[in-house]
Amino acid sequence: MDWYKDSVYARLVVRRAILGVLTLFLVSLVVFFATQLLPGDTARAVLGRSATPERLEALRTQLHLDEPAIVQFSRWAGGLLSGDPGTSLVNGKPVAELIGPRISNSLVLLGLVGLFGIPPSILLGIYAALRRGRRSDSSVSVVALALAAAPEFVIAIGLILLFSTVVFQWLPPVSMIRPGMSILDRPDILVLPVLTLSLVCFPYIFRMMRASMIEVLESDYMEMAKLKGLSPARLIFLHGLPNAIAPTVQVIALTFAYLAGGVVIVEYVFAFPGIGQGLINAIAARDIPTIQCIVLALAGFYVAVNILADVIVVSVTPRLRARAWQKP
Amino acid sequence: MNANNTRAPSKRPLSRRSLLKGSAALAGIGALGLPQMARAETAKKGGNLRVAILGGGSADTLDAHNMVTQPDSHRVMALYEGLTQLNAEGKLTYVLAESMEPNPTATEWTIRIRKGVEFHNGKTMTAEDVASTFRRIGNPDAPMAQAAALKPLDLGNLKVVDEQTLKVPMKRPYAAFPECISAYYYFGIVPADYDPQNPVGTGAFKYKSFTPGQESVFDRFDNYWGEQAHLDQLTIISSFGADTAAFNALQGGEIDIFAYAPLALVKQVGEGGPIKPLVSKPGQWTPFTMRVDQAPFDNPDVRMAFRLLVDRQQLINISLSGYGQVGNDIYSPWDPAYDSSLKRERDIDQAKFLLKRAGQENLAVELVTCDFAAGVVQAAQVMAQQAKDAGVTVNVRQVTSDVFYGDQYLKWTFAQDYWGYSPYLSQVAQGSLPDSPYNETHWTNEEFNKLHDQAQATVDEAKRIEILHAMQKLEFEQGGYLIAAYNQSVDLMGSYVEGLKPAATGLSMGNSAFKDIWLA
Repeated sequence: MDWYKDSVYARLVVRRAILGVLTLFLVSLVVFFATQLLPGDTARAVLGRSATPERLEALRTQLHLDEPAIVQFSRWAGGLLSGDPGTSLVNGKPVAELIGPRISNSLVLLGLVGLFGIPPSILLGIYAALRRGRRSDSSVSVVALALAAAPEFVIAIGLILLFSTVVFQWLPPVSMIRPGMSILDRPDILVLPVLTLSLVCFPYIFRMMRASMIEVLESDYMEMAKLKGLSPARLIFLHGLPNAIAPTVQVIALTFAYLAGGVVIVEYVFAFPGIGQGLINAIAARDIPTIQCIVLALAGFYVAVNILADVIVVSVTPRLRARAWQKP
Repeated sequence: MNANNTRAPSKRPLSRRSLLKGSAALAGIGALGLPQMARAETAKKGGNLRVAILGGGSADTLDAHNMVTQPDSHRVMALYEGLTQLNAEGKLTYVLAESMEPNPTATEWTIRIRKGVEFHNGKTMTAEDVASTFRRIGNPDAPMAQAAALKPLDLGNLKVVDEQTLKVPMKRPYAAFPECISAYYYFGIVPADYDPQNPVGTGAFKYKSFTPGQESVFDRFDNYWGEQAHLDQLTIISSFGADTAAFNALQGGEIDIFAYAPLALVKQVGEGGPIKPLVSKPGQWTPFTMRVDQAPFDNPDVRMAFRLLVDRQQLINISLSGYGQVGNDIYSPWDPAYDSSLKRERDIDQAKFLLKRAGQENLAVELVTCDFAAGVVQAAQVMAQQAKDAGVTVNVRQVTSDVFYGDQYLKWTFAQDYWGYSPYLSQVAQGSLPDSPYNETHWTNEEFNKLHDQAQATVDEAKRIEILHAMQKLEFEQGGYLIAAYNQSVDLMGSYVEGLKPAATGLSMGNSAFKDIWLA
């Protein structure tokens, strides 16, 4: 297994992946038993007001809800490991069919935020660091603080009022995606959600980038490089940025993980059929297989993003590479 | 891609928006006092109506007899029809039945069904389909939501006399049979081989597609037995989780109707603008429910005291933005038997006196509430404030709907609930008899039950009304309901949506009158 011994990246990824799988297993266990503690169950959710004791019992037997919790969990886990995420308890459709489109919708949203939201935040952080103390820096920083203080739905509704209903009518105010429609059919419905999420992440990435960039700019080697006469572009992007980016990469990873599952408010305001609303629906209906699969998808995404972040950090930090090299 | 859409999605909002702007311009001219341009009075055919209704989720269903979520009730009313229906004035009318005649003791009903009614799959409706529908709803092994209304029926002995005639024997007198099956979102007639996965009914719209938690699409049924619908297509959207999103969607032209909108938005929308409100007549009710078999409400003095300490008009003004009619603790205001002479005013002194007599001065109770309809939680808070005047402390506890309708449902000591409009005897069967499925007050009164049996055996309407008056008086004096108001509901729609009238049943969109809607 020379490839394993020789490459510090391979070792990092494999070790993290194993820990990740363990984390996923623990997460699914915890969530499963947490759902059991909620009052009511799927039978009640499906029958609603017309639930009578006889109908509840009949439905519970049909859905295997009367079996002990451990058995239900093993059945679901076993099914998942053999490639079958199960069927929804509520409407009998395969879970993959129910949450597949939602996951891909959320991923598209995430991708667009990563493409159009993250780079400007990084660049603005660098810009503010270069102009530190001056008026342009303070004005951008104030804007960042204001955005950090404002709740997501305030930003969302503010944008809707601005671009959609009151001031201008350039963009649609909701992002309804009809079943059978592809998310990219009408690109204009994605603009406001992406803008909202970008503004939500902007303050944290911006401030982290600005802070670490300032530290780097004031270091000795940067002064040395400046005295050597290197062009500003080389200074910043070749020598400064790689040293400053490490903490920011961690923040970006956390931001992505948060965006993946924590933006239910934005989905509500824009009626966007993403994974957040899918999870809320599933919990309200106590649809256990769907809840488990969504949670697993989110946790898996979180683990993967963190592994990626660590790889990037190692790649820009030679010290870590050397230390890792020394370990057996 | 939906090849069947008449217009591409991207073009839709712009065309609607320019129409809205046009309507706004028209309204502007009207406001100047110039003679308004005459709007076309003849209905135009065509178009796709998009209706947003909150409350949907994974449990959405198209089953004719088992609706769960609020959007379901309207889906079902588009697809199916029953034998009878309450029309927009709250009066009983025949739909799929031509006539329903009881024998002199109300122990057998003869139903003549309408001729030439086609199901969506082309099959003609016969008496056999009606019989199998009754059997499906009342099936003891898998009873449907309103099976209780069919309990008096002797389902094993339904007799199909001929294609148009069905004889229904009863196990006990059932004079109110036609009105008890008039809520046809529970009693739609389906063919004998009905399969909910491929729903088939007799309604003006037929099934096209359905995605639970998101939307259902229906096409106009061209072989409808009555007057055809004007719309080409009807889409009911249940994916909205927030009022704000639905209202924004309406403003932006993404939807045409926002059903059950928050009452406070009516003022915001104003008159003559691009969005207009449709306010229903008062019909639904959200009572406070007191369990008459549990302390402190087992003492009728305490119940009367609570009914006396509320300021009903103030409750309506605050929690319903004024959209309601004062209620007097009895239900079914549009029923011909409703006794409008029974009235109640706020009387704090009498309330205090009764509480003292019951030994319950400085009473403290918990009120369980939930946001299942407009104004309910606010009503709880207002009531708690008003109760202080009589020395009563009401602790409002708000829970989510899965908890409210969970294991404790129908067992809460002091809570609220939501009821759509039903005729009197139908409502009694659902909530005021010992074997009622939704008797949340646990009220059973011997004299009341005796009068009820009498009423069900009285075929003569005038005589029956007298008995019903006596029953209402009993509930008025001793019942467990505190009904402060009959609520109105509001739909917001683009000003180009025509054809709807306010409904007495309180059901949204003029009693779900989709087939009357046309787009200007």
